[in-house]
Amino acid sequence: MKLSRCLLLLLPALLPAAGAKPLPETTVAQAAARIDRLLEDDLRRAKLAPTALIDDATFVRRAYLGIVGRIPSAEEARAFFDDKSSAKRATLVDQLVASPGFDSHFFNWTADLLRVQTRQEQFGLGWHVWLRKSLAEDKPWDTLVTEMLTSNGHCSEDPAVGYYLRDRNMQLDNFSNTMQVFLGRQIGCAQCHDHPFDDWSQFEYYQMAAFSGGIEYQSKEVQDLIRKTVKALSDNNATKEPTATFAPKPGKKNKQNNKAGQLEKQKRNEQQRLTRTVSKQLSPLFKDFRKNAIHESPGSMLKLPDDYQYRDGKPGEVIQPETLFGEKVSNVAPEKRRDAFADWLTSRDNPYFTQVIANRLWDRAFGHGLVDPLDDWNDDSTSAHPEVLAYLETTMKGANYDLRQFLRILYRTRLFQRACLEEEPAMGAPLAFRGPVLTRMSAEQLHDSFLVLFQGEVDDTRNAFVKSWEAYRGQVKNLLTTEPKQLLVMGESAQEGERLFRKAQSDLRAAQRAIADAGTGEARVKAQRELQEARRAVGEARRQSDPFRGMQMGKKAGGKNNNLRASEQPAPFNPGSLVREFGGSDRQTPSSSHTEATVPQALALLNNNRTDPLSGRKTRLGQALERCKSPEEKLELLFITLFSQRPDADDKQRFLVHAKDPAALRDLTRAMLTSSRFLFIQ
Amino acid sequence: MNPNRLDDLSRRDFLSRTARTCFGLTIGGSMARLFDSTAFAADPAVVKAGGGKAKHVIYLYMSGGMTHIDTFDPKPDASADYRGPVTAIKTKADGIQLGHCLPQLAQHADKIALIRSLSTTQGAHQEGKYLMHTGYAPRGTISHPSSGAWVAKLAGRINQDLPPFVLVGGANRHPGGGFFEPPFAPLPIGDPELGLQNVARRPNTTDEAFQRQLDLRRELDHDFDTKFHKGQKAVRAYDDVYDAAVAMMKSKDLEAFDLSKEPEAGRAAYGSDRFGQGVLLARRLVERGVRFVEVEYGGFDWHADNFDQMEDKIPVLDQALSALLSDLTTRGLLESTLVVVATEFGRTPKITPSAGRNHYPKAFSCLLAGGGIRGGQAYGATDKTASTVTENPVGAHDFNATIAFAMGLPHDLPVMSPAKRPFRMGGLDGKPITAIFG
Repeated sequence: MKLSRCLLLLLPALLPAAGAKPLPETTVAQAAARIDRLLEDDLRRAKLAPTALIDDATFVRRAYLGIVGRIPSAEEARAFFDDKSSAKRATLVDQLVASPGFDSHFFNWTADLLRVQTRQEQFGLGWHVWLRKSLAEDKPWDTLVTEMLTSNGHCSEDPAVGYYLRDRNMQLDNFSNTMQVFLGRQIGCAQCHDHPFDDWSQFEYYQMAAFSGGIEYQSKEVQDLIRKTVKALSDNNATKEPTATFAPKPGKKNKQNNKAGQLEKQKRNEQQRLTRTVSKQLSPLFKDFRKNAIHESPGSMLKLPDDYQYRDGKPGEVIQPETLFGEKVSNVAPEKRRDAFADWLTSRDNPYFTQVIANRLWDRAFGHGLVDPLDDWNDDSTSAHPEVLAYLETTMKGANYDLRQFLRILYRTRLFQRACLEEEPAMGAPLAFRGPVLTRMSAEQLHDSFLVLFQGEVDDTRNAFVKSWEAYRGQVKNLLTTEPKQLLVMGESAQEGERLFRKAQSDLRAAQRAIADAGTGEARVKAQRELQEARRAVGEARRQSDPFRGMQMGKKAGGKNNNLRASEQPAPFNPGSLVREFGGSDRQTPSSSHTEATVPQALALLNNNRTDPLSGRKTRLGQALERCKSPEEKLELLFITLFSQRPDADDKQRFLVHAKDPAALRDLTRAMLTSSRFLFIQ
Repeated sequence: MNPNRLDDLSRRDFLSRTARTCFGLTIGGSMARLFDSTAFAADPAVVKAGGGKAKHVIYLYMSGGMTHIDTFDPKPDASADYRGPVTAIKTKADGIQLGHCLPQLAQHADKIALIRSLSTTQGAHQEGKYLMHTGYAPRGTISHPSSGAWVAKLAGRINQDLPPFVLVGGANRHPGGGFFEPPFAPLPIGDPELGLQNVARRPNTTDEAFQRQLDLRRELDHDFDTKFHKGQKAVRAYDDVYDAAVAMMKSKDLEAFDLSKEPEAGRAAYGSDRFGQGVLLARRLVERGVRFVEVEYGGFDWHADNFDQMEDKIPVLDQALSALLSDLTTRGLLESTLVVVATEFGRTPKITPSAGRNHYPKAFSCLLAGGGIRGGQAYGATDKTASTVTENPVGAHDFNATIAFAMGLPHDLPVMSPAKRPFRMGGLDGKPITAIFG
């Protein structure tokens, strides 16, 4: 503990304030060594031995997959084997951590944690672009989280609002996720009743949630535009038809006296009616626009639910925000609520914020958390290595929440060079880290590794969505500057389109039923024709109902190009796609990706041409094999490419015979791709 | 029948029941494989009480928390701030009404039992889904099996080539097989239109080449397996799924996964949405002897615009569910197939200012049909505003115990986790709703 305190003092001094520069080599080496020392002291006390150090082959594969998310190419593996430097492992880690492949791979992990969906309205696209850029720029984690929690306005101006829009109209769920993702606290149950195991009461839940109680899902820009349109219209009316439409019926008495007052009142009524009409008429035009903005309303306060049943509050009672652990924050002015909450949550004094992200990254590097589960911390959370955890907290703060540098330290440990544990860890029990945990490649690691076999080393730095996102922002600007008259015409048409869409949908269902009931040939043909017509009508009405549908870039952007890494594709991947079959995230719940075996995975690796690099297409592996002069060379190339390992004497004895004949070589290659040796990361 | 009687029976020796197992239940597969699973024959006492008729389950899961007051438990006499624009419609069953978005289901009301008295304390999605699926609240130390995995484990396979549990359109965090070994985990079908993909060998791949590929796989993994097979379920699972995949490739019943084999009229009847097609797939699978098919339909979390969303979404359920009930009836499968509609919670009966409804686990509804269930009834009830259960409360564990009862499975048979702790299909103390059978 003493040493760790020293380093706490030492680290910030060594760091540039910006945090974007890599940590000095000595700091990294010392921190990594300190982690190993603390860990090995624990093991010694528990009379456990750490696992053996792994060979270069296992290391190079683990490093590439773990850090940049793909297998090394044969050239990369060979270059590493041939490097005679004694510091080559450290050099490789540093090089990979600083490479664009790291950005791509780390983005997948973060987007899974935050549930970023690019196809969920346009804000998803903007949020994706923003997050990708923020991570690549090493935006410190506390800054990044603060920017999301305090975001406001339309996504074209502040793309971090995606964090709230992700859960549009579900702010309480969003809040529960905030507590889970950033503070590891499961308090969702307390949304409806006192927490069954923890000390959370429903009242306390609402006190915390009240910090974000002012969020409204509206666009200030749209309100302004409607006001502008109404004004333009009434100005226009005023000049064209001075009195005709407003002319009052002559009264019997006080004709002269009342005239001015009545006119004034009628004018006001007319104005209100006009605002309502215009809003209604424009509303279909702006329905997507509204889905892409939030507005902080100081007057809006969180209230207790109508079925509130405890004695400490009344149903419908307004709740004042107050924090319930860590530093006490209360009496916050409504317009400062979210700022105050973000400050509290990301504070260095928050008892969970730093440890939770440090533990998540530990899990990412070593396959299992020091504290497990990652998402269910409480006051009694235990770890087999409390001093390591404490030191990780120190390190995270010292690294100024630069996640890349923090991970670099973890990858530089001796633990990252140790053999995997042979036994899987028990759920929820503290694990003694004698070595890392065996993991299966994630769906994205598999996707990006296939790219190595088909294309070679793809570490795309380009953010495939940037172009679509910028185009969308341009269209938003255009819409906001469209002439009022034109807007109204478009609005009317869209409104009619919405009506037609509903009708077309119901017609479609009727047609489906009709075709089910149709018996004879003639009736069937007729029913089929009607079904087709109904389908066409649905499509047409949908287009009419949403003239800005073209703006929904997120639904189309990217995606077409299979040669891009997983991080550059629309998210989530479609059900039934290779990535989803292998457990790729559905981006519905935090960190929902999984690595469980399923039958469709086996079928995909056995039979899908897209998982066969010798399928007849010109692939990187196929071409390299053609260049090999002997069966020995072929076998070596296959082993290095797929297992990052030269075949040993035993391998040669068993498998060389298959490298001598093209058909057998193909079968061997396919077999290697279905092997656990390929799929798991040792 | 006295429910306690069932409990007594269930405590009987595990082996004595296994011995009375499954003759006549299994089609295809050798006798040797038959004894791989611990299939149960329905207990005579259960049969006497009307249970044990179901051989399959089609479990439709409305993910996000389906509004109960607008669908299965309408309250036409409640004030407008509860009722909203929803009208209650008459059904084929006397005295039972449904929300107006379920007109087709109303015509099948003689086949269904509405359970209007579900009540739990899990008001968050993940926790609620987990509870409904497993009968247990989530804990960090154990992964409980879902009801489909329990059925797969306790009932065993009918068709040896097809997996006993298929999950169509499931979200990622599904509890699946829980702590059970890999063969009881669901076979996931992401998109029913795509069905089970990659079932045919690659072009120009001979029997011999394919077999060589499989043999080489084993050989390549020899050292890896020696090291990790014993200690890692994840590694064992890959051997299992390859065996299962190869067995399925050879199966005559594979076309069950292929919706293009269904006449177009049949397909259209279920609706063109992914959910409707998933329900159709479920029917095709139970016809071929799959025990439990779950079809998930997401997007019921209507915190705003409840009534617009209802008009879009409920008709899809109405169409698919009604098509299923009528199809199963026509094919004579309704008696042997339990149809379930479940969800994690209901919605706040009082409408919010944004025309939405929030999470409401205190009172909500599910539906059961077929599989020996007496149709045309509502079990349990809520008060005038669907806010509080007033009779026969049912918990998630009771609900799962009822599924077990319908299949004649012991809902309270303890099965040990790897850490040697006992768990049951009916949760800690679930009681089947025996009154709705027969």
